[in-house]
Amino acid sequence: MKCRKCGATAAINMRQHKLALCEEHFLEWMPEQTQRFVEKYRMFAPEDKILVAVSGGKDSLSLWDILHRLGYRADGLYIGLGIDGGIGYSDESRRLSEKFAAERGLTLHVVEVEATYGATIPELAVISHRGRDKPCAVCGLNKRYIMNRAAHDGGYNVLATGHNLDDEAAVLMQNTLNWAGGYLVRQAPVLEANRPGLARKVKPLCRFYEREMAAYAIVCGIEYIYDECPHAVGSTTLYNKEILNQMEERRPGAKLQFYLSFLQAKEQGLFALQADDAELHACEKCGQPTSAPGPEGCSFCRLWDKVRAVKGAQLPLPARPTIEISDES
Amino acid sequence: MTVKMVYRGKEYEVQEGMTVRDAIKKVGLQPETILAVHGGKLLTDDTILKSDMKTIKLVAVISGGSPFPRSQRTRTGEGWGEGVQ
Repeated sequence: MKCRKCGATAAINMRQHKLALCEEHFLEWMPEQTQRFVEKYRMFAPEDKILVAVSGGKDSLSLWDILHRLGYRADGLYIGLGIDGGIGYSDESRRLSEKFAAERGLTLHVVEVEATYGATIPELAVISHRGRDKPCAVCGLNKRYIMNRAAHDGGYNVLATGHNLDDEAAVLMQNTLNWAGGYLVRQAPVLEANRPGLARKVKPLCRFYEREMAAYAIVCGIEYIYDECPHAVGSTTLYNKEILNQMEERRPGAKLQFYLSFLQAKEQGLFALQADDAELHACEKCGQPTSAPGPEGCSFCRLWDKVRAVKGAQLPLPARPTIEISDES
Repeated sequence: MTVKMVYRGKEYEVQEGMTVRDAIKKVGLQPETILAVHGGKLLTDDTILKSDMKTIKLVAVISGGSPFPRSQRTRTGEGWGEGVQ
């Protein structure tokens, strides 16, 4: 197969676009398309200060690479979750994130959950009895809280995550199967910072297939952690991705159409009545935005209070997360 | 003649002359979720496998969810080759 632009041997064929490209033109095409999505969904402008949430995986590191190539001011945030899973998952993902930043002279902020709050995510899940045998619920809560707080405290007005189209389509499928109107209305390439204390969240890769993101990382020579979090094995998201890929195999473009049709339907007001108008106020304990009333604080504070009650004085009570800066450009 | 394909530490032998896409299907994997790499370079799905290729590395594009035991899984994306900057 030949590259559509130059006729050289193609490196990737994107069946949903009927487009084959060589390595050189694929590396041009990805940032061009990212810039197109950034503008189309009004994600951010050159003067914005962006914090990229990096996990050491292909998507987040590639996103950081692309934003850097496009000339945006983008720093990274790595959250150490303390997950081992027999493969040193968190240690390895931190090492790869730091290596990526150092090689490019980029600034990476690191927040280690255990060092900052006193327990790893798996410990937290066990102590708080949340999520049965999987710590994913408490992990998500902690990541959302720490990302928002790091963006706010660091003066970043945009928080970018590496969600690709397969991620978005899998979540969309689950929310559609459950008719979860509240979640459907909030799923978008941009979540506006329309409440005090909330960072503007953007997903610049939301229209790229997971396949394209892996190809980009390989062609760029980005070293990324190949394993997903050990706790994600067997998850509903992975199952949904498998189903969607079976559909894609039969009908190229099926995943893209599913997601784009959803965005179009939303734009046309299909989910207007589900608009989320919950009142947010500052948590009495940590000051972060929450809809939870009373002196017990937000769900993050309540979770950690519960853990502190169990572990007693072993846990620190930080006023702010400890943010290390591993490399200043 | 056969060509060796390696996926998450597991080796498969397939006949030369097949396309990458057919070979991936032949060993029971989903072509949409796999990238084939030879000598650090990506191969498109229509590439014909030749015996002089010796070993093709199959890279799962979806992290995690491996049907294989963890001991057979690689830990990082090592050995991608030089890449194009």
